[in-house]
Amino acid sequence: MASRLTALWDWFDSRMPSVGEEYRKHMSEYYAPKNFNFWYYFGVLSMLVLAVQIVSGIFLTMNYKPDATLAFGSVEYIMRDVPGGWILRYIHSTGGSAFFLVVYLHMFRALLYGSYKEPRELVWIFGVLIYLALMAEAFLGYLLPWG
Amino acid sequence: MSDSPKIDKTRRNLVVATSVAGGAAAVGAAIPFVASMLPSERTKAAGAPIEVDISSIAPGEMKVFEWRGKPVWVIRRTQEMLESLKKGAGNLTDPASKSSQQPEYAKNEYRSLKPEVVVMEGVCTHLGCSPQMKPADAKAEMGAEWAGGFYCACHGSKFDLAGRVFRGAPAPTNLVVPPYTFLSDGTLLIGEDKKGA
Repeated sequence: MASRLTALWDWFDSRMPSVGEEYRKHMSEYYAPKNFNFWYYFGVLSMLVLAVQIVSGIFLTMNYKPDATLAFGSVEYIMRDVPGGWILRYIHSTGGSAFFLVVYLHMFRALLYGSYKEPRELVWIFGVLIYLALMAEAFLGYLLPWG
Repeated sequence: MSDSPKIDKTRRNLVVATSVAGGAAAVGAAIPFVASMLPSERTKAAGAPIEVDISSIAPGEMKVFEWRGKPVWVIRRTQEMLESLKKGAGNLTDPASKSSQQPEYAKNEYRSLKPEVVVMEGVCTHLGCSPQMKPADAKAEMGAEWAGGFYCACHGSKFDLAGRVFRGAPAPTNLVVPPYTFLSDGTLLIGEDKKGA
């Protein structure tokens, strides 16, 4: 089983080596000081929350109606009638709050350790832009029940 | 470590334990996502069988009921109407309903459980219009041979009083017979049949 999986990965990797390369470059072999503490977890946690939001959001979309007169009823339908719909919506709404929590801690870490200093000024500025996009996204998501 | 195939047992066990725990968590997390794709209670209710009262249908008359968003016809046929089914049989595309859709108990010459009561979906098998009932005295409109049946105004398909399609019509098969069962002489359950019936 394990050797089959390895063979499958080798087949894939020899045809599309960029996937493995990028994973090593940005994730598994990313150079980082060994004295990183738990404050540094929140960047990767925000990525996890983003993935959870995307998946739960796609599943909610299947039963949501984007129409001012039907939206609230479709949210009630998700909460009451769709099997597991209530937990998907709570995952999505709690995930929205968790996203901000995790991002604020991530920003606090940046302030605490001076992660915005030269040569990382652009990292901070891009981060602020992403934060603005996140606020816009969260606001628009909050409006969706429309009632 | 690099050239010897020795395995660090503690590390391997930790990898296995982490994979098992992670896999179990992933399966658990997938449950609500998969469950949300199952039909909801509202959907199940919309597709549930309907109980209808047919005692008020006079011989030769038709009543229309709605089941799963489709019109379902119930017609109480007279002896005369049943006789007419035999006459036109030579002109039918599928007289024995071999390639048409109906429950096993309706796969007979009358296409019904009881010869006089016929239950059919009033949806043309061509493009889904609902045909109109044309009685035997509509000969001026339907031709001298007409012995009563149904006419689809969209593309001209003609069906006899058992929902069997006449030759030369665009509809490929006879009208669909839904599953049904009699709860009593006057009540019909449309959408569900007796198990094994």
